[in-house]
Amino acid sequence: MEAQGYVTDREVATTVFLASELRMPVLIEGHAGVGKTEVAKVLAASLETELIRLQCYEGLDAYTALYEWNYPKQMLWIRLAEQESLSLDAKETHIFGSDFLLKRPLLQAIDHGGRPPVLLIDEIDRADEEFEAFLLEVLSDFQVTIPELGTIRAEEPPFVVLTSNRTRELSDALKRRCLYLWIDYPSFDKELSIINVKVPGVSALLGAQVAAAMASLRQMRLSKSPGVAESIKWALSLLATGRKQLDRKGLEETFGVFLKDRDDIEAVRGLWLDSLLQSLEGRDVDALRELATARSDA
Amino acid sequence: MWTPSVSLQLPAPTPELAERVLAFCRLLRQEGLAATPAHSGVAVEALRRVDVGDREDFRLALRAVLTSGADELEHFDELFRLFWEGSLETSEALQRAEERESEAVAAEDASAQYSAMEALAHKDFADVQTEEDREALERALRTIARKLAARRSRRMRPAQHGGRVDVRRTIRRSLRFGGTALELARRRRDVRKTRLVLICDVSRSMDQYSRFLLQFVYAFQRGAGQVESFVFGTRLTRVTRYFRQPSIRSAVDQIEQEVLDWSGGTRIGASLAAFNRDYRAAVDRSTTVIVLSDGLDTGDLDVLDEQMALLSRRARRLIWLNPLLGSSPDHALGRGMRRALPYVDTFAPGHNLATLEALAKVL
Repeated sequence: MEAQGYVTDREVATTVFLASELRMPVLIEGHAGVGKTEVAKVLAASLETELIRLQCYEGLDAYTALYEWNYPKQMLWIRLAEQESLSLDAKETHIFGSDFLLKRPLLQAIDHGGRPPVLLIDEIDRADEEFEAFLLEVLSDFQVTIPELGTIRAEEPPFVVLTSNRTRELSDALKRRCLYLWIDYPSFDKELSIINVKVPGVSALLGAQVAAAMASLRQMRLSKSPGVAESIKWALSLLATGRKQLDRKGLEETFGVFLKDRDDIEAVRGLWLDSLLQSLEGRDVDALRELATARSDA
Repeated sequence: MWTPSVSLQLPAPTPELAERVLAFCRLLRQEGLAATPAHSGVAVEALRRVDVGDREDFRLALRAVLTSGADELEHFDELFRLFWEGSLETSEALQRAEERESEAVAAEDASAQYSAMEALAHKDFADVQTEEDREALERALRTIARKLAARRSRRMRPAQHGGRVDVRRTIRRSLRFGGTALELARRRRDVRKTRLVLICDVSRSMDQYSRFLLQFVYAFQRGAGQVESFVFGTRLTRVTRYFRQPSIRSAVDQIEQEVLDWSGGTRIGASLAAFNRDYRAAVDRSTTVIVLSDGLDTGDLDVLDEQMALLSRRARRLIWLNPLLGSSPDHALGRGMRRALPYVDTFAPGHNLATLEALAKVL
């Protein structure tokens, strides 16, 4: 995984390894922005296979996830075939043939030649319980029946990664079927190495300052705590301003990058800016590590 | 490569080890984790693929297979230490599990005179003593749940009139007429239940009501579609999964055993802050939030104010049920309640059946 620019730890590596060995779906939970989706991407890259993504949302139904008929094409064909003396049945069979089928992510993952792909079912908690039950069925035998076409079975089942932000609890049946992985906010060192890998130009000190600041921010009562994705974006924007270390101006110019809520921005501006700058000032990387670690223990 | 420190030529786990894994799974089940017998087989399979000589690989492999939620991780690690690193016979957890089992047996024996419902009646909420009352109560609660629930979902169902054109079915029909769509097939939005979040105060000042209110929450969750339930005293706990059980008694019993801290004060503000922080996504503009509490906050009232503001901005509707409003109205408007009230859309007593039925009518 490291080769793909994903800074991993043993928990992630072991679980993903087992998932691919045992061919079990893996359910990944964790705060927003800790890199849940990234795991699937990296898995696909390291297996050198395709990543098929199904983004869940409220109201997502089986057809949207599985397949749809290409109506305009069907319509057109009916028009063209008007003069021909085909029977109704023959026409119907033709327009409900595989030429007119639009495969949606789930069917793509099942009806897939060559290497089994990685199927990422993103934010499963946003779909409703009926969809979850449907998904469970698909995940247990990897075959679908299309009334007009018959049953399609996966030659080799895909690798399945599900992510959830825990907006609702998933059914026990689904959880039972999956390996479980919780991804926490990274430690100071892990975050620092992520920043270094993703934002190569950043100075060691600036990277450490960003990591320490993030650790401190996550201790605050914010309505939307920043994830690792925000750390990377922040480091990138600081780099873009040409800074080698954090100062007040740089902080004030860029904190919109990692705070998305107006209340949070106000709270941070009022309470946190000064004390943060004070605590970061004059510290080197090791001192920053100590600071961040002490904070997260407290 | 992303492979951890393993090779596939590892020896299979010995039968003795497999036995121990089975025993470990039993312990996890007794301790309330969701490890089923099927999981033990998978666990043994998983161990074939990692270096069982490496304690960390061993632990992580078992953990990936045998846990299924963030709330189980700490418990799992504790039991792992006890079972694999401590002495099995003296382990406290195992003793606890055994005690619990023998208690269960004893309770069954005595079931003629003793029922969990009567134990429930020890709290002096007089109205729910008889079976009849309880049933009436649950009926009323289901009505409330239904009223709250009338929101249309985005899912479509076939319809005769109205709604939108269903292209799929229209095309199919048009075949009969050589491709001319003479008849439009229609579909419309399905009526589906709204999202509900229930946050129930179970602190000492609510002692008289909490068992009753837990039933209230239970009925809600069973009556309505998407419901998330939480309880708090000094800290917030999500209890949705407890109410998935078919029996309300065991649900409430389990919550009492595992979740409640009856001793502490009430920190409503802090609990709502935890809710807003950790479960922010559980509330959207279609969510009705119901808080069940007497509003006697012993914590920082500024926090309460600020968190209520946050919550009311996000929710479609904020309902506060305060039992004091019915039983002793003079005390219902404490300092905490007064701070929370401006953000509340509906403020109602809900200390007995009649007031709950009235609430259903208002809704």
